Amino acid sequence: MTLKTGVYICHCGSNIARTVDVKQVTEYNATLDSVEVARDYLYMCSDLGQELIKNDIKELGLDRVVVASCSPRMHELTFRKACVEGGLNPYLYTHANIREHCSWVHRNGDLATEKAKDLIRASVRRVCHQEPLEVKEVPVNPNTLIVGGGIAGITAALKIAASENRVYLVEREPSIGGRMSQLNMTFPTLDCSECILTPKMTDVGNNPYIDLMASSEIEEVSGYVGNFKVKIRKKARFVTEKCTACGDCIKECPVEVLSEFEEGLNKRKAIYIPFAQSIPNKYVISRNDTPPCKLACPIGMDIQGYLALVSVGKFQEAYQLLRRTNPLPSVCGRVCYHPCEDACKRAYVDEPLAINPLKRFITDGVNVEQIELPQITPNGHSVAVIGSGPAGLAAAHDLALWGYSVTIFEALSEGGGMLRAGIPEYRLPRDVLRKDIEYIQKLGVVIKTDTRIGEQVTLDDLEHDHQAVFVAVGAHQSLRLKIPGEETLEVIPGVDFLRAVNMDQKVEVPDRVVVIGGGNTAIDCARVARRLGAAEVHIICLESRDDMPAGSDEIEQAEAEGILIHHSHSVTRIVSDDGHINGVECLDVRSFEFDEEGGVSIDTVRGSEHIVPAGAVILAIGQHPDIPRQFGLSLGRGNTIQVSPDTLSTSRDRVFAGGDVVTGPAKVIEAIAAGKRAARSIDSYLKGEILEIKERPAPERLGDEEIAELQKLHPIQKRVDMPQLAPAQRIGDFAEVEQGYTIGQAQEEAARCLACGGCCDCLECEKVCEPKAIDHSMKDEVVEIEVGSIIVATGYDDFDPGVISEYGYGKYDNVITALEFERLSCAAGPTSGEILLKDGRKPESVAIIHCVGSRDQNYHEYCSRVCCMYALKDAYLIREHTGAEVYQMYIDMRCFGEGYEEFYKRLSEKGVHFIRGKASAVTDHALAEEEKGRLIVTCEDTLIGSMLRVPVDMVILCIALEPRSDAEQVARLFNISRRPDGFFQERHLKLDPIATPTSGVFVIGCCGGPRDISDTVAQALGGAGEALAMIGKGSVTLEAAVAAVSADICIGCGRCTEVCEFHSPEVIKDERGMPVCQVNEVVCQGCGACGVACPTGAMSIRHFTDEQILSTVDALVEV
Amino acid sequence: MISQQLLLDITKCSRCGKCTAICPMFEKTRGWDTGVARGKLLISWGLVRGELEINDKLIESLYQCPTCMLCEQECAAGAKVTEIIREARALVVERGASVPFSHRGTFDTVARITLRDGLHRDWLDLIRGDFRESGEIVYFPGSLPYLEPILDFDLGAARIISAAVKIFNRAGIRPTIVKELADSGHDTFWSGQYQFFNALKEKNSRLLAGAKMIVTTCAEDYYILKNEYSLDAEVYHISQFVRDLVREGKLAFSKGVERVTFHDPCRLGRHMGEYDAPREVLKAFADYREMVRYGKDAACCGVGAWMNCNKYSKQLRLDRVKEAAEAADTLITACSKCLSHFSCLMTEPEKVEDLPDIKIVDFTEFAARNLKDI
Repeated sequence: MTLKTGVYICHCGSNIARTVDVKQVTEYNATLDSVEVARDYLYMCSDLGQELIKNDIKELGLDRVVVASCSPRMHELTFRKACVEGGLNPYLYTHANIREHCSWVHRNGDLATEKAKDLIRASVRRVCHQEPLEVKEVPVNPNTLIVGGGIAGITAALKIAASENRVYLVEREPSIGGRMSQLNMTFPTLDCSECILTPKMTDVGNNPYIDLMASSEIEEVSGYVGNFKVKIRKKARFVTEKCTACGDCIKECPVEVLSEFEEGLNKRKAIYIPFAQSIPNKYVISRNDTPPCKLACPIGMDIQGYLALVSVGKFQEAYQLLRRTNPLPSVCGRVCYHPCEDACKRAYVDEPLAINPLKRFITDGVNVEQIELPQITPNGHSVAVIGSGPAGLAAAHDLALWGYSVTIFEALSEGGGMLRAGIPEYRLPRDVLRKDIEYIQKLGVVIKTDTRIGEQVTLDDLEHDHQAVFVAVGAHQSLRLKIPGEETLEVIPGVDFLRAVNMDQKVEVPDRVVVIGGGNTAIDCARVARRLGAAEVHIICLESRDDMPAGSDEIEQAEAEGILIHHSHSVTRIVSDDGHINGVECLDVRSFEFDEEGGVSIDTVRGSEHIVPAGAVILAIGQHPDIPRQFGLSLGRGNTIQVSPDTLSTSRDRVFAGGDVVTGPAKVIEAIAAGKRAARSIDSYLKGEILEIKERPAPERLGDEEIAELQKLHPIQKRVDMPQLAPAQRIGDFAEVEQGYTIGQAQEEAARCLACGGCCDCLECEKVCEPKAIDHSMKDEVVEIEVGSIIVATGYDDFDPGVISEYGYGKYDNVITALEFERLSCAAGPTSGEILLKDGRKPESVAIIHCVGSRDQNYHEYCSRVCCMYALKDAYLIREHTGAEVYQMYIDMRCFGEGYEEFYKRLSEKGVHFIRGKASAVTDHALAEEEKGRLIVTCEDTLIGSMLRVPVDMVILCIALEPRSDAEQVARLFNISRRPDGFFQERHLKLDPIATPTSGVFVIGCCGGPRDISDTVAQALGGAGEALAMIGKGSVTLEAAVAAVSADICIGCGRCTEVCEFHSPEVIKDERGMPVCQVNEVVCQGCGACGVACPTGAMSIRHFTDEQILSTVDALVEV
Repeated sequence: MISQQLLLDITKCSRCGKCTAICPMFEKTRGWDTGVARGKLLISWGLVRGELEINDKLIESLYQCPTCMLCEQECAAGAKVTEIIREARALVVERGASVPFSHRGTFDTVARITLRDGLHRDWLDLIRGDFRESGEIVYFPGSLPYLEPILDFDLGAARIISAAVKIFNRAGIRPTIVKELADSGHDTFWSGQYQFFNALKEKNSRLLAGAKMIVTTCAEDYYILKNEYSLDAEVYHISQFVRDLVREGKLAFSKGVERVTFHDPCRLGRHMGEYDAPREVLKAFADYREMVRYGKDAACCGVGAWMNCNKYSKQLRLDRVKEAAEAADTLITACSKCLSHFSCLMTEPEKVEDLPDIKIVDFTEFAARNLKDI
């Protein structure tokens, strides 16, 4: 059967005909095989043009149609429809583009004519291979999703809801309102932005057809036009629906952070609503990642919390918060090595917070007698703890709180272990230690002193009397150096020395004392010896000054007390005279390293032997535990007890161990952590539960950008130093060296905290919330909804003017962005609407710099469209409220909307100065008297060719509107594309400005490009119209040109499933159980990726078959 | 010949006035539009289209610009100002006019002399350190050796070259110094003498054919070798070279207390985008301070390609050293021209009013001086 093809060539007025000889092309076409009729017409897309096609189909019996005209994007659908109306299947039509691909891009008419012939010949050949396809319709889900609750989303939501169809309005921020809620007045009518916006927001909140999800983000979109499935993450707000917005909580919240809504010009609390008219009108708690200090703390203390409470004067509450995690807060306030301070982010700005001194301040000020004890319900189990050091006390404390009856056995005459016997009093006064121990005793813990477990009372006895035993005997045995003279002469072990002094035994030292070792014990020994009257104390250590294991402040304090440190030295022998020590022989050390066995190899300088004279030698190179053999526990390296690292269980059933006895000498806080871990492990063991292991990530180092951001936000404020006793004063006795903060100092220091975590978990708000609406344990929730269409209204970001360094934003206080000015001039803003400089003065002159980041090849090429007009509005407000001179530095004034030009004219009459020229710089470098203390804007007035230096008090930068920083992720989420400028791409700039190439997804407002409120609202209504049109019709037509599988050829390899972005093909079993692919046609977008991936050729794309494409190519290469 | 694309660049200008307000030279001359980028673009336009005759005024307009690139960097329309000016200069040269060199063209003549083969260069005898005359890692001293005898003050050419060799040696490298190398041609290129430049480039390219890596002390040489030569070798400025060696742990410095600041040569900074390397090195051992204008906003030394040294450019230089003196005691720069121009100014304490007290030191020399044994 021969086919009858009709070919129609469009003149497109003169668009095509000017270049292409249409008559000649028509004549040529008539000669082609299968062509029944060839016609040309002035405008094929007109009614008359389409009539030609319809009539020919009917009268000439055409079974194929080709139109050669503009791009198929423009009119393919038009002509397909004409075919249908003529009675032909729309897929028997082909469109040849001889405008964009031919007449518009060629100058040579003859060649263009030839090319047009080629293009049409190829189309005629192709159309013969086309087949009729069946067009499918699917029902449309009547729900609509709107993403973004700015004025665009609000308007669209209300309009759709008015038709009584469901709308899901998803907003990332805690309140809807978007940018418009931040604006003061709107041009050109000077309506108050909030006054016209908030009634609409309230309507959204009250509308039964609108499901408002604030603090929520879209996580996943699947499905297809008319039937999308969307997963939404509702972020935890930590405040439930019960909130009545009474505001009692904000009075109690101690955390202040910069307010996003006020553009950082003001502070807000961690529990807050963005602004008074927020919708939903429910409070929200802002919480960031766990702060680095808490991550660094071995027991995860709520550090930010107690600092915040100190800053607001809630000292008692701060103490309670310390106690929540730390059983020995007073001790830690003195002797903790504070890894939290090393992690503190404030260190990137100036110096870390004085966390440890503040903890001490809290515990010093509290009378423990007055602290209310927690209610304890005994659970009938009893646990024995051996050793009353930090690990033992910590375990006992936690176990006692949970209802265990706990007995601690202590060998010495007083409790505290190393805290009592090892740490000198000038660092940890005894009453401080006693305070913490007494509190633990009040919880019901019994401490049996002078009871060494081993000989009289054995571990077996304890096992018999108690359900579990925790061994925490510490490491009290000094290590030996193994050098000549060490055994025979009376070298004093460091810990023995400290124990003797601490336990009030009489100890005498000679005039010259040498301490060997570089750790904290060595420093303690030296400083104690100095206090006992040694005139000259030397420390000899292997490490260099910077590598000494002792804390740097300890070293500094020792040096201040006159102690001499010989670093990078190795001791080779003890020198004696008549059996009395009179010195040690040392060698200079070049380098040294520890081997895996814990031994050390030292590279010394030959011939550097020298003697350091001494009357006594104290050896403080480390300790190891001393475990009675009768315990029968398996021991590891350095005589430590071997335990399972997670549960701290030993080789004996029901016996646990932790602290120095397991790790060897470590820090107090690490021992406390071990004790707390043991308590949890024992608890879960006795309850028969499985211990949940929580690993805390280490704090991350910040990147350069984050550091710069921190430094920009926070002015330098050095830490408040804690007073110390003068060195001369302190060597006389054992009085405490560090003197503690006063209330004023403590509050000042605590207020330096950057509040990295947002909410600090102090739970003060919970105490006052009457409706009990606050739930700090709330978790994110993911919900899934089904919708028919999606309207994207995600808005824009502000350009950061800091990158244009010459304008001095971030450098000069009074260079502000236009959005900051909106807040500054707003009656509800930080200055109650007074236009003021940072120092509180009223400006006498203001410069407004246009096009900051817009219309600039270096940043954004496009015009941001709203700046000229708001600049005029700003000028109006400044003139009205302050009478200041206003200078507008503009390139072109673009005042194009209704009433805009009139507003411009009105402003010109208000005495505003218009300077045509791009400002080159803002500086405070004064050249003349009248410039001193002011900001000088340099600029050329290009209309008169004169260079100007304009001294002003305030500079407002009209910053560009730019695509959201996460626009790319959002585009991928909804499968839409972006223009080169970064905004979302519409289907057609002029004729289809709201639809996107993805059916059922619409773009409105500033996420599609800069627009003012009027245009945004118009677009929003358009978006609502698009959605409603779909809902009204109730069904959508699906593209028939989709993938199809030839089941006979398919081998079920599944490669198509791997490449498909829309999850359309899947491998199923056919009736014989063989794997074979199946295409879900409603999901398929006809992209063709599967056809390329298919190794056998089973997958083809309808309307784009190999035959159709090859016939096109064949026809094109024919001569 | 000026390309069509460049010509269209001229019409891009929206006459916003930012170049006028930002041009350091115009700030001093305060003349007509011909003194600033906007006017120079129009002159180039007229020249190309044959609408303007070449005369002294036109030549002054085109050549009174150090091509420091500040205007081009800030141009909102994105016009390639410096390239257009250079191409216009080439047109002037092509049509037979002579280039208005300072120093009566002496330096141009010297460059011409270096084209000759077989010139005896006894300056190599003054260089201390361990180097060779052929090899793959080449040190390119550029114009330093022959600037020295012409200038009437001590530039320290031999010291600087020896310092560079010391840096190489300390990192365990014996660099190659090619004896016969001609001038790099930076100045001939920027004065629009393309034919002359090509001859220099050809000679040098021949001599550098075996090189794998070339390190220059001068920012201008770095610019021209990297951008306008087609060498197989990787070209580095010495600040980048030192930075990399420090990062690899092959060089280390002793900490010093000297307060220093860095003047970004326009060729290294705005033209090549390298701001960080010299700073990273200097901050590693000196008390580094920043001037008011630094990095991409750095002010110009006032002269480019030995043209138009005059009272205005001298004023620019004076402003710059004053800025430096406010920030530090020593001004470090990394371009032998910046070094020459600043040093020249400092020779006239009695003639220049309120000349600040500041040391001018080349980057290479300063870095080498503070090297530490590893």
